[in-house]
Amino acid sequence: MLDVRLRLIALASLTLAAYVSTTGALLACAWWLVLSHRRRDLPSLRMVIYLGVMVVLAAIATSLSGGDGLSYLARIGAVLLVASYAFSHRQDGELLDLGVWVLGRRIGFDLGLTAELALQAVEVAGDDLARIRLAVAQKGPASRLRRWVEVGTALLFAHLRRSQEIALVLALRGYSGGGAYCPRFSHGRWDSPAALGAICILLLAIVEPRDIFILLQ
Amino acid sequence: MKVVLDRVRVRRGTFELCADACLDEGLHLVSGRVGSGKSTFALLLGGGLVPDAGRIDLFGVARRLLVQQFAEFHITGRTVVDEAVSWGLQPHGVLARVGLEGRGEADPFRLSRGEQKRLVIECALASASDLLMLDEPFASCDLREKHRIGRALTDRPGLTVVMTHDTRYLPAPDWSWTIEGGTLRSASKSGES
Repeated sequence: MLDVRLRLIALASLTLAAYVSTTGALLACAWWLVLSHRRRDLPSLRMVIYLGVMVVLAAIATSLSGGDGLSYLARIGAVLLVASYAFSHRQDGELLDLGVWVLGRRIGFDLGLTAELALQAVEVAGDDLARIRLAVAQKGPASRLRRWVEVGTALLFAHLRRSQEIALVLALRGYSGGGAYCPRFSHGRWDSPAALGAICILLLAIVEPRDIFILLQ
Repeated sequence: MKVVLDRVRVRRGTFELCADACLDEGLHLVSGRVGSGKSTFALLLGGGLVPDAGRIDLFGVARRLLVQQFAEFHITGRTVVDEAVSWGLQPHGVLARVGLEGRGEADPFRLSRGEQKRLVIECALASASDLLMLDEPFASCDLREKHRIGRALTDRPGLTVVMTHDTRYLPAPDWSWTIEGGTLRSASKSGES
C-alpha cells in the first residue's frame, strides 16, 4: 500500500479486529496472506524466529494458566504480521506528509518530523549495533552483562550525538518550529480495496458472523 | 601472513560487493568514491559481515583489528584512562602521544569527534595485531594528526589495509585496490601500473 493514510486506517482496523475477537485475528491473517508480499514483508528470519518463539512461549504459558493460548497466539500473530506489513511498506517522508495533512503546518509538521527522525534512527540502529558489537568484541573477552552495558552505552551516545548534529543542521537552516510543506501521497491500485477490506474485517470482528445471519433471518 | 577472499559476495540492501583477491603482508590502500563500498569491505574483512557467497581465509592472522570511521563505536571506558586500559595498554604513553595529558579522567564520550578519533586510532596502532584495518582514518583529524598516522603506518609490520579516498597523508602503499561498481578491482603493486 502506497498511501500512508489508507495504510494507517488498515493497520488500526486490523489491529482492533485482532484485539476484539479471534475471528478478527484470523481474518486479519487472511488479509495479510492475500495482500502482502509474504517473505518480503517480514523482518529478518532471525527476528521472525525470535518473535515466533516468544509468542509461542507466551501462548503456552497462557494455556497452562487456564487462559485461551490459541486465541492469544492468533491475536498477537495477526498484530505482528500487520505491523510488519505496515513497516515494510513505509516510505521516507510519508509521516511528515501525514502529520501536515492531519494536523497542519505547525504541530503537524513538528510531529511528522519527529516521527520521521525517530524511524530513521530505528533503521540505522541495527547497523550501528552490529558495528559497535564488532568494535567492542575486538577488545577481548568480557562477561556478557558487561558487554551489553558497553554496547548499549555506545549505541546511546552514538544516537545522542547524531541527534545533536541533526538538531544543529535544522537550527542552521532556520527551523524553530513548524514549516511550509505541501504533503503528497502516492496511491496504489489496491490501496482502497485493501483499506476497505480491513474495515470490513473490523466490522465482522465486532459483529460476529453468526449474529449477521441471525439479523438476516 | 595473508588474507584470501575467494569469490566473496555480500549484499546489503540493494548494494552488492564482490571481492576475489589475495592480500599479502604489507600496506594495502583501498580507494573508491564515497558510497562505493569501502566501509562494507572493511566490515567484511573485520568479521562484522558474513559473506553471502564465497569465503574469507586468514592465514597467520591471530588478531585482527578494525578501526571504524566513527570512533564513538569503539568507546567503552568511563574515562579516557579507562578507554586506553580497555585496549590492554598503559594509558600514560597513549595519552601523551595524542595530546590528551591532563584529561585522563575526562569522559571519552565528551571528547570532540577528532579527539575520540585520535585516541582510538592510537590505541589500535599501539595494540598488537596481525591484520589492522583503518576505515577512513583521516576523517575528523587535523593536519598534524593525519601526518602522525601516516608516519605510524610506515614500516608497520603485518598486514595493514587502509580504506580511504584521501591518499595525501598515506605512505606509498605496497598494493593499491579500488572499488568500482561494487567490485574490488585488483590494482597494482607499488611502482607498477
